[in-house]
Amino acid sequence: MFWSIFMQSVVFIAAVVLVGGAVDWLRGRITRSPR
Amino acid sequence: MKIGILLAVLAYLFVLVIGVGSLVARREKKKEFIEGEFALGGRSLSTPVVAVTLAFSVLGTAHILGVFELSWTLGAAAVWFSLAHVILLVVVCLSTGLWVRRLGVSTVPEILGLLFGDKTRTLVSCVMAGVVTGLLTLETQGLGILTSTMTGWPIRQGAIVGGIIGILYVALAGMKEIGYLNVINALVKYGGLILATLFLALRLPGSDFSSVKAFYINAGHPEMLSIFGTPAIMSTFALGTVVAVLFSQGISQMLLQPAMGARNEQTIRRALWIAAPVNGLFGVFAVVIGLTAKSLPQFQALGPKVAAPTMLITLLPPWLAALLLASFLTAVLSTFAMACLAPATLFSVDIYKRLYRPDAAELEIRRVTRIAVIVLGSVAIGFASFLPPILASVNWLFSWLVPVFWLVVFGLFWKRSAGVASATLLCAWIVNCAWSFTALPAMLGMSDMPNAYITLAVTLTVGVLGNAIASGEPGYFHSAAYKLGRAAIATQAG
Repeated sequence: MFWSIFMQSVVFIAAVVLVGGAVDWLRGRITRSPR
Repeated sequence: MKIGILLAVLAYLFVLVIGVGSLVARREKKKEFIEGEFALGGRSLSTPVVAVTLAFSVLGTAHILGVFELSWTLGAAAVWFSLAHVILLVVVCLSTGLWVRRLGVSTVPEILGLLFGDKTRTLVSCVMAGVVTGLLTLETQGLGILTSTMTGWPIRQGAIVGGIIGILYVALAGMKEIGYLNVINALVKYGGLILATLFLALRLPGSDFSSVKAFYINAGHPEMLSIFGTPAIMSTFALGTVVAVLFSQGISQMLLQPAMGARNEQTIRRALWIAAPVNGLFGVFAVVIGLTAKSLPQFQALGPKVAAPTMLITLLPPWLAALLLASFLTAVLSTFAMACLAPATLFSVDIYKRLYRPDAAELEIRRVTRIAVIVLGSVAIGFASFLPPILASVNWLFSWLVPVFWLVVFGLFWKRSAGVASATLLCAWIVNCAWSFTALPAMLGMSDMPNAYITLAVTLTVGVLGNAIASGEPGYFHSAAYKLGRAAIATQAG
């Protein structure tokens, strides 16, 4: 039970942080406007 | 009264607060007072300190006692309260936190002043100070519940003692001390939580959580074991929490203060990689502990509020129970501290210095901030002793900040019109109050609609239509003043 809740949460957190980081990085690459 | 546990918790707090306080004070003694030193740590906070302060500023009563209680009815889906804060931290570390650091401001209303003028700034200052003080009264209740668990006193008396410890905690040094204390607390809390979960599992039949799993499956509720719960829980609780948390806390002084004190923008970006997992995974342990408490008959009888804390004190070895309670107490204390320091800074910088003493030195501002901390803390203790309902209060309080978030976005990137800004704020705030204190929701047949949704709808309607129709200056990041400022900084750096 613990591990399934833990892993579901880890996958969600990793996905949100990676998507956020990727969008931020892309925004930095594409535009020089304020992010 | 659990004398041994109480003494151990007090000893932990004493060593930590006095020890770190005197270390920071000794280091700072040789330095001269710099602008913003007390409240913003001299804008020199490093990545770990920014990350842990961000993660812990929002990790208070609701994350611990609230999630214990929520998991009772929602099951593992209660972890969405934590996951909503992960999304919030992504927005703060990659957007709003960077904007406030780039603008070099000390308070959120200062941005409103920069964008829309002094009247809007004063309006938002007063409301924000009120909102964060409201949240402070709820944290004081949390301190009361934890103190009463250790002492057996009524929550009211617990709130008074807890509140006094909280005031001492924040009045002694300020942002830098809270920053360092949070780093130590993070280690203790995670160590304590992991050990507690391990010891809890060892005390269960089969030395693992299979009996807890079997309890929910046999009760016909296997969905309580998945963080995705049921579609109904996802569309109401999970999404509703994400909207409320994101648009109200994304621009809150309490959360942005560590970002304002960061060394540079890169520090804030890097902080996300630590802050998001630290904050998000806390909910997992809280949910597992809450689910376990419900599955054991002797604690189920105690009800959702006190079952989990009582189970921890009963089943864990005394040293671990003391360590865990101390770490919970320090988590609530750091939220209390930030909730105290943020409105105190708003008062000293945005009201006292700007309106009454423009030439006040940092030493004087520091003294005024300290006095404000003591006054606000005392007011919070007074209100907390009336024990207002926590969830209804949070819903109403959070919604006051929804229009502020969107005004900052509009003003930085689209258009700056003071008239539209004031109209948006007033419309959203009036509707928020009407939604909580009149029969309007029932008349419209929308009693279940949370305040955050309705203030968001009013903000977007009035703000977007108003800005589309009315004239105004271009967004601040597109203005000549901002570009000149950036060019000057680049020249200095070069």
